[in-house]
Amino acid sequence: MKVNISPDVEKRLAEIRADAAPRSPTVRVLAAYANHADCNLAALGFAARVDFDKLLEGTPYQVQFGQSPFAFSRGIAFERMVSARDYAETLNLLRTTMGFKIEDARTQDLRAKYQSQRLSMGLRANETREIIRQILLGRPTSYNLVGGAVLEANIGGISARFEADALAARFGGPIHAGEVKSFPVVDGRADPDKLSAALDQVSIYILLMRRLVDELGGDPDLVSRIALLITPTNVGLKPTMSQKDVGTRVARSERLLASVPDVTDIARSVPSSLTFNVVADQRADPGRRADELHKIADSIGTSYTPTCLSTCGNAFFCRERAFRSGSPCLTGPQSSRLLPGISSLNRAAALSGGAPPALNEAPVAPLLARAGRLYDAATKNSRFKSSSQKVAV
Amino acid sequence: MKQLDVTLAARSFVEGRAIRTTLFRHRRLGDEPLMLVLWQLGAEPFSLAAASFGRSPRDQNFVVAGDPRNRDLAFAALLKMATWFNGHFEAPSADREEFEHWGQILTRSRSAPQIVVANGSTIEMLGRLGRRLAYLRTDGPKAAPLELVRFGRHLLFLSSHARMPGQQIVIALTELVGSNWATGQSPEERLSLAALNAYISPSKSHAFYEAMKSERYAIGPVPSGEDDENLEPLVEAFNQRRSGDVSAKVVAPLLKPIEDHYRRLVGRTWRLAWDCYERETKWPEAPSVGRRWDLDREAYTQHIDWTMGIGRRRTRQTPRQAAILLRRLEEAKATLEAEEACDDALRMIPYLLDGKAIQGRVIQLDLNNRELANTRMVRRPLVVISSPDPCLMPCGKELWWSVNPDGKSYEVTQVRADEDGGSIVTLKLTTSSKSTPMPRVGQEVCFSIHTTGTVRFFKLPPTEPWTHRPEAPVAEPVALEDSEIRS
Repeated sequence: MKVNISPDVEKRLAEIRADAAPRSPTVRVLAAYANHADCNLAALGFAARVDFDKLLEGTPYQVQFGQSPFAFSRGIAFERMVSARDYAETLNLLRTTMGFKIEDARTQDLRAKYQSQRLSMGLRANETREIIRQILLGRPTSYNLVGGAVLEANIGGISARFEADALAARFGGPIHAGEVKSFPVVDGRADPDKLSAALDQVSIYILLMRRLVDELGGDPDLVSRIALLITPTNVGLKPTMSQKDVGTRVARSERLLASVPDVTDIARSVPSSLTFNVVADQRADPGRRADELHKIADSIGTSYTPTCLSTCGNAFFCRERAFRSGSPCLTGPQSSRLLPGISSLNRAAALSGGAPPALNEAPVAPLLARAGRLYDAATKNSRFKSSSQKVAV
Repeated sequence: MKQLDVTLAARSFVEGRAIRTTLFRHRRLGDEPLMLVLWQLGAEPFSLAAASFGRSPRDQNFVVAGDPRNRDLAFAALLKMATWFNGHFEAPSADREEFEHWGQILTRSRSAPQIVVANGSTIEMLGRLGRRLAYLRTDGPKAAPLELVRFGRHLLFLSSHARMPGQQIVIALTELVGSNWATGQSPEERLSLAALNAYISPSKSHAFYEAMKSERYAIGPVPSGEDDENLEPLVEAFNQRRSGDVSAKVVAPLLKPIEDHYRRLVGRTWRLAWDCYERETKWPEAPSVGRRWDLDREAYTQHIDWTMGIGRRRTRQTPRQAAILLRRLEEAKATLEAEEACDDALRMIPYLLDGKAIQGRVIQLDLNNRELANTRMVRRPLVVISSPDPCLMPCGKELWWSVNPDGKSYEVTQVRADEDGGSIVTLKLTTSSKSTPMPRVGQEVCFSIHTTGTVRFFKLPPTEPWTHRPEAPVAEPVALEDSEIRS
């Protein structure tokens, strides 16, 4: 990966990463990071390109984000189907759904053209750039449909490449970006969560495409805000194309990219001795690895929320830290909002039992005390006031 | 999440286990429910890879499809389940009773089946399977067995009925258990039945650690990536050995490794689901459950009558249908909240905290209070209660006595603060009828915004306004089986 930061900073980031598994900033990584951008540990991992999903492998905090091989093969099979025979199915969808005249369509599958994954990204990025330039110049020999385009972006000072299994299509009008997904559309509806994630993904491609067009001297508005989504329909893998205006998502993606902290600032702000060396060492004692990560977390701070559980490889570790401190964030962000000024769940429980509040607890304490009193009164004569023996935390 | 939820979550965290949030069980739980545990293959949304079903913990039927991406194999497994399910699901409809509805004499089943599943994802899967099966062609070269089509229609009904607040025909245990217990977990963690259960019955350590161990196991229907990695070579070997043959004679002897794989996964959820179900049955049933069960029996009877006759339903609603359904869902939710709050003192607490209810001791009763109504003096009894809490309600606020929520309303006429930070509230009954029950002096009472007596009429215009007219007519449902999952 090309890095446009100073050698000193790059050296420092390499020291921080040490032997931890590296990770490039893909769209998925960026989306995951966006969910906990206020976490210093996540920001450090993102800047140093540490794969947090693998960092704690071999410890009790290891997370399981593994994808089912059947899900993976379904995605591959569907992508092959839409790109087979020079994108015949895709061109047919563009004709029937978008009304494009595709008789003389010229297609290019960059992924097939550059087989070697390691070297292909740079070459594909260059070729994507050249194809877009040809399109802007209005050359009759320019491609109308491009598969496996690679777009570049500067993320917090790092030049990252995003591999779109997307398609850039232009047939006389604006340039469209699209995405191929294997979740089905039935009766005109798709799984809302999956649909939302796919549209977020396309919106980043649209944003990067607009920047590329601008860089090449074209009008960024030539890139359409309409995302194209190719998905199977019904039970089989028969493809269908959906269109959706993602203008607001593009604006949000722009804000997201702008909010990523600069890696140089991050590298200079952390203690000089900080490194993931021991944490990533799978031969080391799991307890020692966890202790080292605790030291890192203590020095730079974390910001656990339950959404981390589905996106961050350190989530179990951070959750246990939150548990040990009794942090209200353990029970969710709503809980934290309802307990302003309350330092811990232990304290909230004490206040609900009528403990005298401190000054900063005064706004919430009466509510907690009243809730506790009403609960105790309602269960006073009940056999289930508490189903528990008290357990030390 | 409300203040009470946070308070109980904090107490649960300190105590190291769950805390009960209800005095009653607000759902009917039958003696012999139809328990269903489903497992899908990877991200194949319409594939039933394995299932367990039965009416008691020991009555565990088990099917696996082998490779459910193949239509014949998938349907063979589904047919075994459909045959069992249809028999048990349809049987109660034979025994009917008459009842009056707005002057009409109708019939309804005396009982209804009850389906229990582990979580909301399983209900979604029932809906997907129903969508796949309900519209299958029963003639032509790839005719599907009628049993499967009926099964699909029942599943579609279940997934649709599950949206009705307070319904009791389909029980998702995560929702049932989650609504009855507070835990020191986040809403995301509470979606795992195993983690939730670990908080309710932990061993000696803090439930956090028990839940951490439990949540690593998939409960279904979506498998974990790790489980499917173990399954993949078994399915490949199975497909190689059957060489495209889908006959039961060839397939059955080859299924054992896949059965062993799923028996472990499904068995774990099966035991967990029954443990959770049986624990909840031990709590006393709330008084208003019977009324909602009557509605469930009516919905079930209507479904059976329709399925045995015409059978087909739209998969996309018209704007009119959508408006009517939305109204019904909103009404059902309001009634459910009112019934639960009036049945259960713990369910009333959030409304007391929000200033939507007031409770206290009756200190004065004036049954002969009279006031001028239009042209004559009428009787308007007054109830004065002393509450230990401040009352923020404005005068004129309409409230109902919680023991008579379907009766006449009371109006707040005066609110005074007392010396101890509590309040003296005067309420006026808005009827002169002497048959209306009244509280006694000294009695502990609760008045709230909740009423179960309001009948809301809903009149739609004869034609949809132009803003709600779709560009094209709503499409008729079609069979999804126009292609194999793998062509």
